[in-house]
Amino acid sequence: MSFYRGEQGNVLFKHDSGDTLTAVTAVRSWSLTVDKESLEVTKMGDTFRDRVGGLIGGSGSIEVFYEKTAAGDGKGDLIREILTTPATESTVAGAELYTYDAGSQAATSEKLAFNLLITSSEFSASVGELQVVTFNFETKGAIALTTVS
Amino acid sequence: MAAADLNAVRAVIEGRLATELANAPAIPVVFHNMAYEPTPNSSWVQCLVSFGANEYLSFGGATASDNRIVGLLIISIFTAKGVGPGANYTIGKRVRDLYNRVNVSGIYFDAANGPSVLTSPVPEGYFQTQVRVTFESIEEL
Repeated sequence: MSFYRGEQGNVLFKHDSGDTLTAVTAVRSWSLTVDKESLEVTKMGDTFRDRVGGLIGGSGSIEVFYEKTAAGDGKGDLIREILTTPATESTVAGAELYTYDAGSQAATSEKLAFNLLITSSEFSASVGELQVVTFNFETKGAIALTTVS
Repeated sequence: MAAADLNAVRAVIEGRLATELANAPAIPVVFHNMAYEPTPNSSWVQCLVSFGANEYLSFGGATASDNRIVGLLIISIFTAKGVGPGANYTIGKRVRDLYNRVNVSGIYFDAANGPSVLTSPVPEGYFQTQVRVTFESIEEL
């Protein structure tokens, strides 16, 4: 067993299911929170509350340094995703968040893979600091934690 | 799992530098507790590895637990005095590239600092800069 540092991670993004997942450059951080609904099934006569798991969903954020990009590359598509019209949202964007292996996506890397909807993009510029864009997203469908083979 | 072998960590760090500086153009490199008489106006490198204040990472006692081991690598680069900094910074690039954000053998090197110029070189008679790199390794007991 070994531990990993944040900078060993990576983010891949694709605009829709027809695209190829492409590495997003200059990522500063990513996070994903997976929630599971809790359904109470306590019965009369029970002493302690009982629960079962319900539907699973996720939300998170990706923070990158802003760069001039083109549509068609991972970062360019990610930056433009919030601007796509609702009609094209059905094409389903996808992302893979790599936890380690220096972002190389090499065999034995581990990743969280899911489709997503970008719900907000915050572009910011401050004097004396590098410009940052923060993307917030919600997952769509299954979330898989898998090892790259 | 076993306690970390700090001498092995030291050997990995020093070995990378020794291997690189043995390549052409070769530069003499000296480590802790080694005698060295530099040739006047020559270029040479001093590499000092030291371990710092380690800390707990996880629950547990002397087994099934984890510690963070941290350390500092200070590499002094000496070149001829009075001829500008170019030769020194050329060596500095070789040194810096060896460790800058590198992960090797379970040792994580942070972003390298320097090379920064020392106004009072030790020993005197050289133009001296330093590259400093903090590093960490996880001890899994």
